[in-house]
Amino acid sequence: MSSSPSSASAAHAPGASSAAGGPGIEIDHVSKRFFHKQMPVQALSDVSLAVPPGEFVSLLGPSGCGKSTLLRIVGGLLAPDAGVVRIGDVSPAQARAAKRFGLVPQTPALLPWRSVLDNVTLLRDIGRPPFRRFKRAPTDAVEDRGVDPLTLLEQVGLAQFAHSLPKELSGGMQQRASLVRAFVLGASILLMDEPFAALDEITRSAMRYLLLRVWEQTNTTVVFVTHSIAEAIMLSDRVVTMAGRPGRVAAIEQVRLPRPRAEEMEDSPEFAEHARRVKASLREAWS
Amino acid sequence: MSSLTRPQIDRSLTVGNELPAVPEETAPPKANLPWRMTRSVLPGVIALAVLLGGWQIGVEVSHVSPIELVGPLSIFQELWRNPSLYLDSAWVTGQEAFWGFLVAFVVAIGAAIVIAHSKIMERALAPLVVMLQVTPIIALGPPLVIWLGFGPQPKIVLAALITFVPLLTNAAVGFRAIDPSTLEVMRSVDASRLDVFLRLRVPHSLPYLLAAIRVCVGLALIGAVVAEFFGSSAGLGYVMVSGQKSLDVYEVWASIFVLVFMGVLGVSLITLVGHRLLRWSEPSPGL
Repeated sequence: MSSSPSSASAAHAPGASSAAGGPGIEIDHVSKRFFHKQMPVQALSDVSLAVPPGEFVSLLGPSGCGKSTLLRIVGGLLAPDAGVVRIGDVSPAQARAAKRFGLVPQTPALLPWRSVLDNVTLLRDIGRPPFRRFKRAPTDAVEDRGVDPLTLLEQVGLAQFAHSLPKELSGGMQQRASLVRAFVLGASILLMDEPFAALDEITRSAMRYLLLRVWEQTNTTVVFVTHSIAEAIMLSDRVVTMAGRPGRVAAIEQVRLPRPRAEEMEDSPEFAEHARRVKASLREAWS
Repeated sequence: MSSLTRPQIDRSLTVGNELPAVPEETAPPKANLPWRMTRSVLPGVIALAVLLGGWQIGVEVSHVSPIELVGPLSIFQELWRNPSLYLDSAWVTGQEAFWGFLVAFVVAIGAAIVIAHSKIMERALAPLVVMLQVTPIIALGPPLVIWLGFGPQPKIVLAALITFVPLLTNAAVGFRAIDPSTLEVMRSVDASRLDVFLRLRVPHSLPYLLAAIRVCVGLALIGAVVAEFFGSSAGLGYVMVSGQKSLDVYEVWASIFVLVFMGVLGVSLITLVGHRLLRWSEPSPGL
């Protein structure tokens, strides 16, 4: 905590988001239906949500409330049945093609045959000639806006494992590599689908603040799916509580904890008050 | 306020006291090479010596006629007496088996690529593959010899037919059974089908393919030798049939020994290549 991210934190203060350069997310009356054993299941029903640039927003709810579906629709991996999503002034598909998204899934999803360093540069390499040995691609826009992978690996404590294979790393370390992979891309929007859910509680808590420290140096917009109330509050500017069957937005909690966030704040009365209100909204949504 | 400034290295941010999955200290100190080689090879050599020795002693004490069973010593003597016959025959049979395998490999990979990318083509090809799988391929020997004559062609075709299904099924599974999260991460930056194929499906299929290739060493030899039984003028199968007709059991047994040696040589080569290619794989490919 010796660094002073005060200027960065100002960019993330609620209301200061217009100063950030990246695109925001506009979710406009989105609905999505799946078929499960020929029975239609309404995963999302008329969901609207605006995420200003640079905001960290959590989608909170138990399994099956459509939060992961919503994340995939924002990322252009699923098409909505009704409604539109805009990323700045482009569609999710266009944003995807421009490598605007950094996706962090629940599992590390590393390629076991690539070293940690080669894994974190994978997304940057996609779309380039596969055999760089024969043809060197000129530095493109993606490279320019990205971050030096070694610096980031160093920051998450993986520098000495840059040339190790994923199987030589623990689960928490693999997930840190997965985080670095998303940041290396220099994407303007991070989509995180319960990235810490498979980790033990101690590692999980450490990862929370590690993510915040790295994120504070960027001006990325984050959509973070979680079913942990504490995680949602400690990370986010806003916590969106979702109700299920059909999935919809139940309540939105504006988090007033100052940034940079610190672990001690989990013991503060403000945190307790936020947690109480979020729990109440969840109870109401799922009663 | 510049976005994505190079992050400063700050040790206090790292989760540095987490242990890697495999601490380096657990690796045993490397013994010198001759000793390591001896340790890995010696048990197998002893087992083989026990088998051959028991066989030889059994033949000696039971006084069976050479027509019924010959001992390994007299088989080695036969090989020693006429090395060029067995070398030339092994060369013929080996080439037939190799070319048959290669044809099957190329066709199987092509078919697996199609199957991995198209459900319709999979449905179209599945019944044909099952038919080929349940056909006793060896029964196709006589018609193939009638059709293609006494040259190497029917041997190559039979070796190809017999190795095709294991190669196809393993390649198809290897191409398709990829981690869905990894695929989604690649799709989140709009990876093309070619990108996914070259960077994800092909490396992922290597352990499956190498397992199939190991099985195919023996199968290809079966195909070539059996086709030689049905009509040929050279090769180990030809030597065995002529030995059978003249009741020269030494010739028959010597040919079998050569075939075993060829199979062992082939599998050893594959294993060697596999160890180099699949260091990342977990668990590492065994025997």
